[in-house]
Amino acid sequence: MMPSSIVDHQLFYEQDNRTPLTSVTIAFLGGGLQQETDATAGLARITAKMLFRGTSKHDRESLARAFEILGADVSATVTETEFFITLSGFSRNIDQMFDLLLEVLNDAQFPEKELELVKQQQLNAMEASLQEPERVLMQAHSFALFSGGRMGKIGSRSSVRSVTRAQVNDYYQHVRSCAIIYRTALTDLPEEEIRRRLDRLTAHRTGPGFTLRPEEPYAVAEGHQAIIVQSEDAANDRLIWSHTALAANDDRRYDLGLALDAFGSFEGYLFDVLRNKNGWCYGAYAFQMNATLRPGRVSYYSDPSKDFSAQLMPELMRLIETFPEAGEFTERLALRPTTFKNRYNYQLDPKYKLSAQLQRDLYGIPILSREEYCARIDAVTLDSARTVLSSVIDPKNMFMVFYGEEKRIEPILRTMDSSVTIRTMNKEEMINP
Amino acid sequence: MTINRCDLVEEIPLVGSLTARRFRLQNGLSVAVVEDHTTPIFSYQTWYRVGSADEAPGRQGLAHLFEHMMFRKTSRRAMGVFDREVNLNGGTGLNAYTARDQTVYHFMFPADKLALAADLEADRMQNLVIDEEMFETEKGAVLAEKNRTLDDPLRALWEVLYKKAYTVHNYRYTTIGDVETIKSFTVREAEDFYRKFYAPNNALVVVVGDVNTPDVLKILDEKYGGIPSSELSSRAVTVEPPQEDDRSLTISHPKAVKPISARLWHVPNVEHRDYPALAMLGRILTSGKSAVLRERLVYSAKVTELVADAFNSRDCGMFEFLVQRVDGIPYDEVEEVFLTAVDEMAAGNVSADQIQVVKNNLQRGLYQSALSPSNLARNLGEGYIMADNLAMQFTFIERIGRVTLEDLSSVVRRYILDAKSTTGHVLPVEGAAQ
Repeated sequence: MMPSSIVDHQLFYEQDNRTPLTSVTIAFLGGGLQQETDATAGLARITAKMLFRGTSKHDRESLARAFEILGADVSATVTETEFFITLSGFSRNIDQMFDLLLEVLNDAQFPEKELELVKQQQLNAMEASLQEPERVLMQAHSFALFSGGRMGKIGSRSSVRSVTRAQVNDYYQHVRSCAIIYRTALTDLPEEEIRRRLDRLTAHRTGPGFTLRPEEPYAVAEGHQAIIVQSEDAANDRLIWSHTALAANDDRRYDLGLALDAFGSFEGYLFDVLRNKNGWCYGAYAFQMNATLRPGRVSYYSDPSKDFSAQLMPELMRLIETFPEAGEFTERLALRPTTFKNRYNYQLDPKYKLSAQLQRDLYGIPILSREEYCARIDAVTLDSARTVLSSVIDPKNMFMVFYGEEKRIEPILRTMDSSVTIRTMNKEEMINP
Repeated sequence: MTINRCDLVEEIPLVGSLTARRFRLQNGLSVAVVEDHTTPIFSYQTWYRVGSADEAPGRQGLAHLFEHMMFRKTSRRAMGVFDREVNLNGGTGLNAYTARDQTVYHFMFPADKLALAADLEADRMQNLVIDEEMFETEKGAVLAEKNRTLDDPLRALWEVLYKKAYTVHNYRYTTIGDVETIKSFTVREAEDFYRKFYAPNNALVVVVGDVNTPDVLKILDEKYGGIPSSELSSRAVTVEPPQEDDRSLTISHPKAVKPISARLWHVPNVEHRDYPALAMLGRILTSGKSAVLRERLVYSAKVTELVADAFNSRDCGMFEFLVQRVDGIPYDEVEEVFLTAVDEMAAGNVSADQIQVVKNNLQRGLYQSALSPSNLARNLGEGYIMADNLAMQFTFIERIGRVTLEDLSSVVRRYILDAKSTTGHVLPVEGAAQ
């Protein structure tokens, strides 16, 4: 399912003459994690990592060297919906770089020996990621958003181990035939020169490709649903709480955006109370995340020293419940239209322009002139902000995810809400056996 | 040449059409300006030549805690006004960091806000007020930041390993300090620190973006010109004695899921004639996907993290080799791979392609930094701190280009193969809940 305003092989291009550098990203729509099943979890990432592991002319090492001799850096990655190839290198070598990339696209061999190494790397990376508290916290949040399903886990050991060369090859052939967009082309070369070369790269299609599907919806919290990732020796607790917000193309995003900036930014009400006035934590933020056509999340993050969690957590809840009426919030909100109008200039950066073009065509978000943008910002009032906040801010129904010590966090949570459901989990549970 | 009472010190071609011009105000403030009119914004960074290495013995962490206080209040701006003015005027990326040799304050603004940016920074350079209650509250935030580092096994390893590798130099201490010392700092100490180090003749202001140089100089002279310079005493450099013995240590950490190992060798600072060859060594080993150790350790699934490079500070540097090993791979095996690769360098077994790849990766990195005003400003600031040479990062390719295979062989033998080192390991806690 292609968004109606996207056409196959659409190019998103910005010329930038500051340096003789060309950077392009080719996105294969529908080639992402959404095509995996429980049995093949990990296949998309492994395919991406295998793509540059050898052709019939080059083994892995000589292929990497051949790109780097040209001044090029190339890689493949996946998201939930897309399979990406990115290439950045000296414009003077663009023909040789693209020839080499074409060789890979047409003749990737996915050598068996490399597959075993890539699988081992994937397994190692999955385990190593459990070492980073912030990453574990965010992963546990995903675990909640996807109800513990495949999309919310770091991966699956058994399915990674069972990936075969035939599966990788088959997956890649489907990716290769997906609908394509040239997601970014930032270069000092003229548009036509880039388009001609990109089209040559992607002309060859081998058969039916994957079909882009809508993103998987997030779970909806009923009441307070807490997950505590047990970490007995953590010096700081970390928390992220979230509830449903708006889709990226919802026009009320301006009202919500200004309100959340006044409440949860570096200079916001939340930071001022929790960090500046009380010194309970290093960070305290509220923000909207992950908004696409799927509604995003309003999220609240903090990292209290464990001695202060008992004070910070109820105060954070109180602030979420009451901030739309608080004087310190409304004073800040009154200044936000000026702030946001002043920030318009950043939208004129070439990278931002590329992103805006993409959001326009993927999500239907119009690109506004300065005058249009300022007019929309000026339409945000305390009333309009409170209206959207009253329909979005939902402190009674949140996923509340913690990284810390259960025996300390659980009693605080119970004091805040005796009906909270708490699941304590071990980090290992975020990887399927 | 003098523009608006500011002396032009040098002009430095960067990349493409971008040129940095360095000026000095009458009070000694250094100013670097790069005009880039691509987007109507600019990056404004203030680099103070003071960091944790300048702290008094036993008072580690003061530079960092003080940096936090710079966001509090001045005699002209009450608590919260600084942040609010930045925000109201479209400022973004407001933040700061403290390192061993420098403290850096940075933000970005729309192009028409230059006078405000300069006023904000000039104000806190001369009018900071350190309030007792705010000082104590800020300690709480710093302790929370300290706690974050305690949860990181790699940081825990660096903390003890650098203390072992250096015996006298202040580089042996972490920037953030330890808990008890942080709690013990007084307002008086912070005020003394401010008076001693926060002066125009100890700072560089870098402005990169959609600005006109004469306007920048006029505004900066107005805002900073009246701030008196200080009598600065240069850092009392404690010369680290040559390491005469191999040292090692092992710690365990509850958050470690795989063993992490590191080995450190003392090397000279960036201005030394041997530094480019040492940097070349590090890049041949790890820079880019075709680098020797990436092939032999990462792509062969023996390690999940790999660092091998000459890290640089103002007084002296350190060559660091660091790996996070996978289960079943002993450190000796990994180290053997590293030493074999280093032996090959010592024997002159380096191809022209490998050297070209190093140069290409450096060049591409510079090009990419030029597409971001803040990254470009950072490159200039680092040159000022490390070598009082804004062009340092941009001329490094030339210095690397002059390295011969004989140079490489010589430094590999002198600083790595024939030198003493310090090795450390951090291991998962046996039976710990992961």
